[in-house]
Amino acid sequence: MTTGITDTRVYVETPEGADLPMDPAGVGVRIAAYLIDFLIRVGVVVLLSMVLAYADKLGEGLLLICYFLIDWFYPVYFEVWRGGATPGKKAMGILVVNVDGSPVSFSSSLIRNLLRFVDSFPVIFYVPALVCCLCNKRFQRLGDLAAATMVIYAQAQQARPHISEPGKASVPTDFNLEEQRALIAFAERSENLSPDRQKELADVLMPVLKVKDPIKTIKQMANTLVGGRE
Amino acid sequence: MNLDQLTIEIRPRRPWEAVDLGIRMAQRWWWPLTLIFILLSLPLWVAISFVDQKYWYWKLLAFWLFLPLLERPLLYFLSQAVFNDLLTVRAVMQKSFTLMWPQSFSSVSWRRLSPSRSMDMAVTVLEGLNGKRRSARLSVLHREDASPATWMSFISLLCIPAIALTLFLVLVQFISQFFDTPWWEFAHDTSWSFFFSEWAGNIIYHLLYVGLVLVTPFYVAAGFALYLNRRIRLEAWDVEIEFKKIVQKRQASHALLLVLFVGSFFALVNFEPAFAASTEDALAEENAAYNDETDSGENEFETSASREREHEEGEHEEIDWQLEQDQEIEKERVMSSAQIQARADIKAILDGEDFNQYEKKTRRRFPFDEDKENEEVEGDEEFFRGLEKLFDNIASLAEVLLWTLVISVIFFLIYRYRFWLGELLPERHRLQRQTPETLFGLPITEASLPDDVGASARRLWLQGQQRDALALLYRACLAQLLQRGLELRDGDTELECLRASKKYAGRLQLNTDAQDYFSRLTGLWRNMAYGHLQADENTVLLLCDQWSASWQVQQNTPEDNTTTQGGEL
Repeated sequence: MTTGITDTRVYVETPEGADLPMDPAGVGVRIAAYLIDFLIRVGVVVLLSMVLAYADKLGEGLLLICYFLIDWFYPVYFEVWRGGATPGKKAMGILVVNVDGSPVSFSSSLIRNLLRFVDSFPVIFYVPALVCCLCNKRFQRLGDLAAATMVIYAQAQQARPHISEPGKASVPTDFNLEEQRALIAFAERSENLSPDRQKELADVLMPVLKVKDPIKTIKQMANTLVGGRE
Repeated sequence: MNLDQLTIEIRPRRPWEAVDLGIRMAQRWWWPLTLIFILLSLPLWVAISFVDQKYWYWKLLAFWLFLPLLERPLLYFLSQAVFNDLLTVRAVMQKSFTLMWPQSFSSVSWRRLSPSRSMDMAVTVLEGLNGKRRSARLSVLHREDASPATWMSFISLLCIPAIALTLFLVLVQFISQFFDTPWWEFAHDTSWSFFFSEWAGNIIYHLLYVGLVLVTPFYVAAGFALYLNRRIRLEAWDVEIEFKKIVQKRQASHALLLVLFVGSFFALVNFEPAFAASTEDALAEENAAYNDETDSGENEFETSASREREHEEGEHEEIDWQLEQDQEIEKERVMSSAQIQARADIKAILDGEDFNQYEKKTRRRFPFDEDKENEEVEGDEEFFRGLEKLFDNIASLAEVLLWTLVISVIFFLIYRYRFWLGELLPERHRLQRQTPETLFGLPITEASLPDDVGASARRLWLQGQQRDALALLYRACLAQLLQRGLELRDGDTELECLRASKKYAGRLQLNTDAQDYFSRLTGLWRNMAYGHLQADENTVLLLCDQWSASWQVQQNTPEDNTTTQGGEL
């Protein structure tokens, strides 16, 4: 693989023929989420063992049952009934969905979690999962492949674009959607850009705009596009 | 920095997404990265392997200290590769010393523990900053999105022993095959001491190096991607790329328009004289015009490319059409002679002997022949015939059932709406509903009523049985209504009765007196029965007196007449 553009984004084609962009979550963030979940589970089991220690033999049995349930059904419960994300995943801003982007069902969640046994072969280090994740474009481990699920980044609610520049300027009619978005992106992010960089970027557009103060004009054009204040 | 040459997709990403991009980058250039790292680190590893194994932790620590320097050439390779400048391994190796030398001491000493090392390395190596400028730059970079760098340091530190131990256990599994003992028993015999036995320890120790070689390219690339993402966000690279595209597109389309205009002008001028000459001339002129316009190289490839683009553009339909016409004419010219020849050939072949062989076959067929043929086929498929018959039977049964269902539904509907349908019939043929014997728990049959209703009611009222008095009047009224043919059902309420009586007043031959009487009585009765409101004595007595007069009027109804008459007498 020596040519082409490297990217992680994948597109799911909807029945309407639209391409839905999804960002699969890679190994790093998933390991981090797993570690958080692992700590939570260990914490719960330790707590339970301290409480159940008072119940002697019965407590021992109960503890084993609880351990079994927590070990196998902790992810299933959260993935199916709590929006596809275990606490660890939620903390890292990722969630489990089917490969077509729909929420996971009980059966697929169960499959992907039962197959942790294979993914963590031969001990708990999940090395087969690691290898498998790197071998496909959706970062799916073996369990994900079997259940046709994937882990993606949760879409944050997009805030309304905030453009500080008052006034409006007309946008040339031949600007397509991508190009209009670039104008808005410039105006939105200009607060984080140094004045020099702003000028540099705005000067790029000079051949098309041909105005005295391109920075201001672009911001005003963006203001027009988002329907901002006068 | 040439953003046109980028080999990665540029857009502002979430920080962890940047890590993922780094992982993809490491995969893409995995082999050169790994090779560079092995070439740099293996000598060091071999060197420290000569030290006595009982100081293994010191050896690991020493190696660990030098890691930041060994990672630098990988970063350099990546930074070039991202801008489509793929260096050879040799070139990187030659440059590696100059990369490793600056700030080497601080890197292996106090900065060694920095958890965001992978991200900061770019500032040191690529930007070459030091001292205060470096820390100022880092503070800007770390303002956002730096936490994954820390995580990645931790995760890679976990991954190295994890990979080493996994490889070791797989290895043990393979070895244990030779001893006929399952691997877990093999390991269990000696429990933990097994892992620290001399040979196992040595293997794990070297597998740690393997793990390191596997992890390092990913770790470096992830850190670099984080750095890159931060810069993309800080400097709006994606906006710059998009802006440049906007300008390029506009300029290209302006140039193209001019080219097409000039070209088509020449094409039109030369169109008439001769087909053969004109197209080539036009092409030549066009090429010349294009070249003048763009000052580009004058080779064949350029022009053909330009023509292709013209077709893709498709915005200037008229001119495009002109070009197509040119091409058509050219095609025709080239084809005509060959085509004529080909047509002649095809015709010759079609007329030839192969396609013109006719044969006449005659055969006699009798009806019984056909039967026989059929029977043979059926004989072979006895089973399917049986199956077919079975399906036939099932189908006819289903047909009968379906018709039965349809007929029952029709009957049910007729029965269900029989009264409604009865309305359509002339009056005397109508079905008579059963007249209820009680309404609201009151007996309303003729027999239950006294002969003189009005007098009885009056008597009851005066005896203090007010409730009974009104009930009697009301019952009598209902009985009258029923008698006259008002259809009341068991469940009707007083108001429904009143409404019905008003609605069918004409048919029931109720005069206004009776109607008025009934509505007044209904009001009183409801107040008494449900509201327990005592009625005004005079009103009630008036009703008692009016009873006969109000309901008696219908002299033309014979039955009615007799009963009421009898009542009065």
